[in-house]
Amino acid sequence: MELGEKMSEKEKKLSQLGVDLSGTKFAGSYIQKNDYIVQLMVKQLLRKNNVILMDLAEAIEKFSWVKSYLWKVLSPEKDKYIREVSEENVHGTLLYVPPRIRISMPIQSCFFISDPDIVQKVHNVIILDKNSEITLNTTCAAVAGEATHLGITEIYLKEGAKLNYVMIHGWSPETLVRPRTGAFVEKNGILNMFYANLKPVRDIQSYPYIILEEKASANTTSILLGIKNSHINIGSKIVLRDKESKGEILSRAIAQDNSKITMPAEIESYTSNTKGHIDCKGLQLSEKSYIESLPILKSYTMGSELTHEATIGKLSEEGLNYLMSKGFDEDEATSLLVRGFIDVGLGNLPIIVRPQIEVALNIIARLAKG
Amino acid sequence: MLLKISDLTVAIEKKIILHKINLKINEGEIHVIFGPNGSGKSTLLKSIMSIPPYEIVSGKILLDNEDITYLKSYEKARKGIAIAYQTPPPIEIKTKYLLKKLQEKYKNDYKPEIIPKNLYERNIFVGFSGGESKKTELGLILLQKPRVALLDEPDSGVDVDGIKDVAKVINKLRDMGSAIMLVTHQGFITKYIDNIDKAYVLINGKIVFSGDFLTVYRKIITEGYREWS
Repeated sequence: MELGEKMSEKEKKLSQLGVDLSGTKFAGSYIQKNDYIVQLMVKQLLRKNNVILMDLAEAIEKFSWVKSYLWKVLSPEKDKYIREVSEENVHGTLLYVPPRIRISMPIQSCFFISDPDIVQKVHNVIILDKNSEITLNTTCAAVAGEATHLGITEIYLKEGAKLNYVMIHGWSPETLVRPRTGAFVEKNGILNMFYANLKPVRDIQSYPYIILEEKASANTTSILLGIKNSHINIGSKIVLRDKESKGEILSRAIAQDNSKITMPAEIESYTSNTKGHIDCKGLQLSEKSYIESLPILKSYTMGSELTHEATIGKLSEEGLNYLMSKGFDEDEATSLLVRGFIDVGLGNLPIIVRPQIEVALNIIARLAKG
Repeated sequence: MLLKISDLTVAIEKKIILHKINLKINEGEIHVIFGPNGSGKSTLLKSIMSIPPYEIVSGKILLDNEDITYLKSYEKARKGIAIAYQTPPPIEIKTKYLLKKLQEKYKNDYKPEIIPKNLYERNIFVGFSGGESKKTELGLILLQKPRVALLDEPDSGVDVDGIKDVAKVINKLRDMGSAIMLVTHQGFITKYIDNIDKAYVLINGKIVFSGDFLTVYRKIITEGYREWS
């Protein structure tokens, strides 16, 4: 029986977020419902290239080397949520890509909560060996009442490795979400992260922490939609540890209804010849919404080039009037302006994942109301 | 009569700026509205289109005898009235995306050649030159296939070759059966437009003269607007 046939109508709504329940569009698929795995599919493409995609709990038992990657980039002492997950043997994905293996077909992972009062704890470890490349699409969602998601993701990119990491979130208005992500990018490595939040959420707080070695680069893009009473606090921190490393943090926040959005962003440089840029823009669509932008730049030596730009504003009335004169009603004109606002360019992500992201951005534009 | 405007009086912040304007235009006709700076030409077109902040105080706008005076701008657009702004606002939407959305809205896949292809990937009207803005704006009008096109100084800030391109679009619109109300400051563009049916002179919010195009144009070229001021 296909996975789609085993899922409730409510759960099938996951496909609206881009989850492929059949797994056909992906080289591999890991789907976890509450605290158990409902799909683990590893296609021939991955097997023949010795790519490992499996449950982390099982991987720890099977491969002794896995332990050497646990809690290295995220310490359990850092906060109570990491500690809580570290104290249990939880499920999650282990993704290992051997040296020089470059897979263009993305891998899918999905974590969803289908019942109320669940505390879903997840631990993912992603290791890309030297000069390898892969794209990971992760979707997280809740289709239940009050619930909590604690998701830990540790990323290790070896020399010259490249990870394209797309995350789409669609929580419920009662979900408390605490993802914790840490990444260590070795020399010449590239980390591209794209994040979008599409649905109301009670409270989400995430602050990926990325350390870059020589000539490594990281780019994080977050598109945040605040609807109803959502509390969203999402940003990232990039540490330019070694020379010629580059980091860029880009955030777009759209706050409507009573939502509150905070965009923290920090770039720290410890050596010369580094570059960092923060670009945070907020768009308020209601009187009661709140947006806070917190860009921080720190340079501990001379010779780093760090810049930031941050703006918070409302929809352009002139733009609205113009679009309405072309035949778009107010809602349609608002959607168009919002779509333009979040059109941040996806040039650094592979073409294969862009359609899914375009769908997500179109959903955000459609839901945004002035 | 396709579009009939009777005794249209318009205010901004309670101050009357257009006084009892009367105009009527039929399908396939081109009417030119002349006037010096600040005479109310742009206000007239924006008022016909219901673009804020102008407020219609009295009078009527009829399209095919249907009273559309107080319809919103998008409702008027959907009924077949299109406006080309004199200075369209810069908007953070890719030109190609807006084109796609207009194609969906007006159910056609027409790609206006007048819009330079190099502008497709750029945000519309952001950093466009005068000529690029005018051409793009007219391209969008073509896509709307309007019954009435209100063109606000499509020739200002455009070089001679550009003016010829703009005139071509106006001729094309007329050939498609659109009624065209063309606001122009100096009228140079009219040299390239075939068969202009009528002209008006608007001074201080009032139509002070109307009649045969060539008569009005020659008078303006030789005497300017002083006689009516």
